[in-house]
Amino acid sequence: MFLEEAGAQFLFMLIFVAVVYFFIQRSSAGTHVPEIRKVAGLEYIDTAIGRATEMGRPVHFTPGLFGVDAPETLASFAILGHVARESARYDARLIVSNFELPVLGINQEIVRQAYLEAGRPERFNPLDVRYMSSDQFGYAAGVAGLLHRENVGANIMVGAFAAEAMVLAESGYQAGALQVGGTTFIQSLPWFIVAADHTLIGEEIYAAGAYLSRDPVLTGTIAAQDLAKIGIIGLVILGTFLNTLGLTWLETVLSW
Amino acid sequence: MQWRKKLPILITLAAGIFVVVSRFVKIEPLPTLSGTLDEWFLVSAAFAFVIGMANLTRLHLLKVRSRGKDWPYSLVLLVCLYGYLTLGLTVSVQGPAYEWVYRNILGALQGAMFSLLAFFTASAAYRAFRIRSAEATVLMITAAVVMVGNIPLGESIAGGNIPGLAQWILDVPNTAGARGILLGAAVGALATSVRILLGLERAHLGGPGA
Repeated sequence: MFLEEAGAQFLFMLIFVAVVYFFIQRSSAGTHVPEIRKVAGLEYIDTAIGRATEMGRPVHFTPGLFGVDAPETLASFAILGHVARESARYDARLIVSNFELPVLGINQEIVRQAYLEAGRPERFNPLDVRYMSSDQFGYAAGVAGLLHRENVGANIMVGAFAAEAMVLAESGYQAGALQVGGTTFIQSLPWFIVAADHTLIGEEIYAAGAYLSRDPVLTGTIAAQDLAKIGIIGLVILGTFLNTLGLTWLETVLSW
Repeated sequence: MQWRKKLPILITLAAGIFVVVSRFVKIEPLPTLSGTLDEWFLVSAAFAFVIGMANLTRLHLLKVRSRGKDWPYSLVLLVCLYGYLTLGLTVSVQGPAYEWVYRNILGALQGAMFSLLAFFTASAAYRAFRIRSAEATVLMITAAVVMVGNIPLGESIAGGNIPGLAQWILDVPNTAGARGILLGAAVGALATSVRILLGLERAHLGGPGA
């Protein structure tokens, strides 16, 4: 009836949802919620778009390899929304390259909506939200060529990236673009760290939606996230301590 | 207008709760319905291929017609796209001709792109390892130890301690850092899912929440 060894996972999820809900209620009621620390990578996105506009060069965004079922891609939608709104506000040209086809449709809608909100619907070009390829290195080659050909001034890469991250980031550097990279993929983070100007590491990409919106209700959920992390860290320390003493009851409970 | 905004959020909430519950509770018809939902997703994703092809064709056809910058590349792309599609439809995707193109052209191109990583990595590493700050110094020393520890020469210097040190760096500080990032990312993904399910984050619908 119930998936074996998943009881603790289910329970954790329920507790987490309850904590998130509690913080949403708290912030909706106007109670003080802790402020989010400054995330340099997210702040730099606006700088990069501004500089690209000043130089008269386009802004490029790519959400990486995965589809709409990947949380990294879902997080990238929030960042693209912000990038598109800022580009529309500055009247900068925005090019979005896509690997996954369902993501292409969603991204077209996000960018269209942003230009509409900025009162510049005529500036939205659906062909600037492009499908590249669903082959990893075909996509990498396509984006690398685009960065050079279009003389991109700001290159924002946030989502799910693997080995092609190096090709994208280094091509952006060679094209002279200001770059922000962000992913949760451990093996791709070093590429962004060495080649991009700023890197969003792991959870920072998930905080982007709340951070960029400055919405207190959304910010409240980040506080819930931190509380959950403190709880998990506590469990890790407790588990290490108990296992060192030869007590395995916590392990048994968590494997339930 | 209100319903136009609320309906996608309600569908997201219903589908999301259903998928999460069916992941844990194995009572029929939940697993079967969950499988059906997955099939719907695959079918709708297949439809998106038409959109992708239309997007590519329009973009590159316009470029060829207007003789835009580097238009011959667009022509090559269109010829390859429709040529390979025709080959697959006429001789079947299991046919030797289709297979030959895949192995000898596509495979070679993928290999060439992948091999470029070595050069990209070298140029990026050169910039990153220049000692400009304390962080860059740590990065440079750590990378040097791990690289030397993974080549045969590493065993013959410093009394053979370098490979052991390199392995320790990978196993202890590197794994600890990686797990910390993964832990934060997992909690972040869960929080983002909750925000989307509750309709607080609606960027995927072209709305706010970002």
